[in-house]
Amino acid sequence: MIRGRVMGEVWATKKAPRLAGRKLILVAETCITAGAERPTGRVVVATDLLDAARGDTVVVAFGSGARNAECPGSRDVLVDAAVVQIVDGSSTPGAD
Amino acid sequence: MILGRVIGQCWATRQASRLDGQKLLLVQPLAWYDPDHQADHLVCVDPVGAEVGQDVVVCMGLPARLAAGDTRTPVEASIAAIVDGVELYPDTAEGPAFAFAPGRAPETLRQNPGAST
Amino acid sequence: MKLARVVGTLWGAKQSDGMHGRRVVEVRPLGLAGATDGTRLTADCDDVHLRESSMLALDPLGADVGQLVLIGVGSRIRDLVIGPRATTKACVIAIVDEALVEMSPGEGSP
Repeated sequence: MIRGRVMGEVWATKKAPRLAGRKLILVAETCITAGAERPTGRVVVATDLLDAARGDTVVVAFGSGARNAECPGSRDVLVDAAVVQIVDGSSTPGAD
Repeated sequence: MILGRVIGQCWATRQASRLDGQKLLLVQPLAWYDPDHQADHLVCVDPVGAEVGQDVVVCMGLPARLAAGDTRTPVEASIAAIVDGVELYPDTAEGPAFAFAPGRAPETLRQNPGAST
Repeated sequence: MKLARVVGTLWGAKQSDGMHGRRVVEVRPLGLAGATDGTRLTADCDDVHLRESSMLALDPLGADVGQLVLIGVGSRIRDLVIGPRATTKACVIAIVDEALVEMSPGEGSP
């Protein structure tokens, strides 16, 4: 899992059937260096079931963990990254 | 998933039999999340029907194999969606300059008014 | 599996079902670039051995901030350590007391 900031949205009408109906957002990975949260430059497209708002810090899970967020136990969703938590707080020094 | 742009197509005469009938597209990734995976191109199967020049969402791993019809298909990337638009929130990251390398911003990028570049 | 140090915990009320009641820790993997024969890696070892990047993992063991942990990544590991429905592939599988480097890893090691 990674920590990231919601930085945008992706719209698509033509989707593979196993992805249909899912909201796609752009998340910029961030890391905490020298006491401040900075983007690492990596960006991921993730599905969002939790209605993350712009600027939210979120936890993104990958692979089977992401599929479990969309549909627990299923292998039948075309998702490899999903928002699994909207972060309210963190004890890491430098995090918001 | 990652954002990418379809930049071409691949054809193969001799290939694993489970790849038969699959359209193979050459995709230039616009943004990566996995440093272990990073490359300047990616070959994806295309169950959706994307065309050269379009921006797409690419799904990796097991779901990509499923999209190709069978989990035993030797496939690691698959087109999941064709992008209509991308909106970047101006105050959340340092604009598209940070998110996308020069020349690699999505064609359909729409920025909010007042966004920094 | 890799060694990492716990640098913080995260919480948030809005979460997937597979995250309920689970503890999320932020960890920084150890880099062995500066290690030599006899370097001891413990909870209070120098920060020079930490890599820049951090990652998040579910922690069923209750590791404290500053402790060294063993991180396992993969769905099999997740199934065994936490459960098949948890929404992660990375989890804390041990709280490490000490690791000892017995050979210099050399230049360019990851």
